[in-house]
Amino acid sequence: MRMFKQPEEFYDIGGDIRPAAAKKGFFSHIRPRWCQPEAIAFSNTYYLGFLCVFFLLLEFVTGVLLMVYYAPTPAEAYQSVILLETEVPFGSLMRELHRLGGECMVAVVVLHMLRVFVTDSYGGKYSLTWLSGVGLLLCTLFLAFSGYLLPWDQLAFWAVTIGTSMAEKIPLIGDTLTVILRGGAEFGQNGLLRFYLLHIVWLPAVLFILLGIHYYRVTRVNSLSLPPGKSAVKPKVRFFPTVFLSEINLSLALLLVLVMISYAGYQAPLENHADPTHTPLHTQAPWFFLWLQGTLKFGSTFLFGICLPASLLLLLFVLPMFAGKERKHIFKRPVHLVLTVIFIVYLVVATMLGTAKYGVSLHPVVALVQKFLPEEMDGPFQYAAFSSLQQGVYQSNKKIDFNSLDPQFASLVKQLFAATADLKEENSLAQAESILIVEDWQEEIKRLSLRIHFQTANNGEMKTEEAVSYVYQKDPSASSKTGSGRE
Amino acid sequence: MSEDMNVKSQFVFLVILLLLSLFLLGFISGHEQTRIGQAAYQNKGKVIARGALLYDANCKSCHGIKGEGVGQLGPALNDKQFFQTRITEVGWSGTLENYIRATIDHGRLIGTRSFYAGNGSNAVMAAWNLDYGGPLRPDQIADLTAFVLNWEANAMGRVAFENLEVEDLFAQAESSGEGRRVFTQNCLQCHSFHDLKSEGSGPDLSSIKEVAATRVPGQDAESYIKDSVLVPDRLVVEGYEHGKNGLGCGAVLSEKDLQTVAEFVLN
Repeated sequence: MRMFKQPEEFYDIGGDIRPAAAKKGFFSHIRPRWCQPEAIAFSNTYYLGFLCVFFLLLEFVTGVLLMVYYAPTPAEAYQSVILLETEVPFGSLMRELHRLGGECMVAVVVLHMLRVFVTDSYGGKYSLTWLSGVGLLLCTLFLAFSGYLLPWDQLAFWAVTIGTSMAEKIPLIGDTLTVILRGGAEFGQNGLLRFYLLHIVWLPAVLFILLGIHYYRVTRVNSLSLPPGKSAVKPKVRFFPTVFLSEINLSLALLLVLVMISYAGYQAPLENHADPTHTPLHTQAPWFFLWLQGTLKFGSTFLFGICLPASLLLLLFVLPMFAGKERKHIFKRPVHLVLTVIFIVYLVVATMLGTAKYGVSLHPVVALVQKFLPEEMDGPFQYAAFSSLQQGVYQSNKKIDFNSLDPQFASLVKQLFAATADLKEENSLAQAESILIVEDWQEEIKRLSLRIHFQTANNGEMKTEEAVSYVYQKDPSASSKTGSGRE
Repeated sequence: MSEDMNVKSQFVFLVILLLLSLFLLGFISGHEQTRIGQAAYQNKGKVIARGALLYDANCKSCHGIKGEGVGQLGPALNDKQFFQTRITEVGWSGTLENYIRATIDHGRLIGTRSFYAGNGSNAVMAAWNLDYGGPLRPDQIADLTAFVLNWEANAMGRVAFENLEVEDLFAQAESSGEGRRVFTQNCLQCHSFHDLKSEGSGPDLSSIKEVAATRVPGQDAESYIKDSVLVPDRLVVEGYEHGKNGLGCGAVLSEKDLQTVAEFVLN
């Protein structure tokens, strides 16, 4: 017995048979009643279009919840993120899901476009679908970029400051455009509010309009495209309940996986409060913009930071004009195949060049100090158990009884001394000595001072690099509870 | 598999997923309060650690590296009296936290204790808040306040730490060039020292090395020099009383410069 009876009344639009009820409701109208099994098979679509919508909805729901607590002012933005993490039930989970969902969305949107390109589904009757898709890609990237600023930490502030500085290189309008983007010479109240409004109003508004066009084209006009060379077969699959149920199940399963990833240790990064007067040693774009940061290393910012991405974008817009009359898989289009491979190789290489490894190189002594006592985020000593950091002076050129130290701390000190020895050898230094001082400073606070004395050549000047950091007790169960400072 | 069979299996799958979701939600809910408590605890530690760095960069030259106070420049903050009676003493109606925060924000235009009025000047502490011309943002002042408040356990004697002598290791190697620079910039206006001739009215310090160790019984030469800069009223050499030949020492030196100049005049 069939579980769901077919409606009795139908009407026909462009060969797509729809129930009469579809005339009455928007969602009944926009969704197809039937799907071709081949058109929705995982092996053909990889569910990438569905995943884009899933992550968009996830971003929408978590974003609306985050908006309740977020305050878009430089004085309050960072603190409101801290509030989410430390006082709001599930606040941290919402923030992590929003961040994780955003990163996944960028990835699946790009992969979805690649899949459409590979299956030659961008020309002819698919042109408008493709063009709206390019618009959706742009919206997704700008959403990711604008959202990156909102936590108002050092990472966000400087990455977006550097990102917007590329606009300065555009002839004639560059300076004005940068001021408009930042709301002034540098990011402040105006700039943060502009990015916030872009992130929560203008970009989502454009995105949902484009998504409506895209979705309508996919489901109504193109009737969910079949892969090249495949023709319609019977029986078709009903959208409701068959496809609908599978989409609900997949969404729920994905949500469970994302929650588990978040709970297993994924953390949306949050550095120190944004400080316009202090540029961090390393400023790195988010991974999905590393290709752009890497591209800048090829030459002039205008040529490689503005013209090249603009040309790529233009290429995406005009691509339907170069589509063949007959759809062919990419393996039957050698020129497209070669260009695609070149593009992917370029993305990978440029992304690698954008990483800190290929960034501005620090003086090796500074790099060593930063490795053990970084100015942003926690270093190895901060991750060590608080009680293991034993007060004392530890000098690399003096004998230390490591057996008397906590094994975890002893291991870190040994690593520091080994790195100092490597520093001396690799950079042919005449002398290199490291001194680590651990001092009990306040209740549940220790002061770490790391000083590297080094001499580049015999009889040369003795130089010094120093960093100070304070380590705090992280485990409330190990708290001494003698004072009131942490309670 | 027929479509109906497919739908049935999807329903079963949905029920399993819903059960799993309920289980996961229950698990997370059960741990959420603990997570929030831990996050708040860690954040407080992070705030204090940031405050410590700010204190190190901005406050220690007047209030001492460990809040012990520096002569007439700034009172001790790591101090029982500060935590017990300070707000009553000045008639502050809010909390000690409010008091510290307000003091850092606005500075202190008029001293509440004459000893810290500072060499005839009433301007004893500048405003530190950006809004009032200072260098710090409100969140940084909140961090600093948390750090100062965290001295309570030490000040009240609930915790005590063994002092670690690290001065020798971290003191910059004294060079006459550096000492000469500090002396010329800060002392030469009043004092002569060998070839450095001053037209000021302060005593010539060329022979200070011989007398410094014996001026105050029980006090060594270096400590005497430092005290003379930090607490000029403590011992005034005959003939150099205030009002007769000018004011006491008006130099405001960082801890490092004070050490450098003391070594310079004694060596």
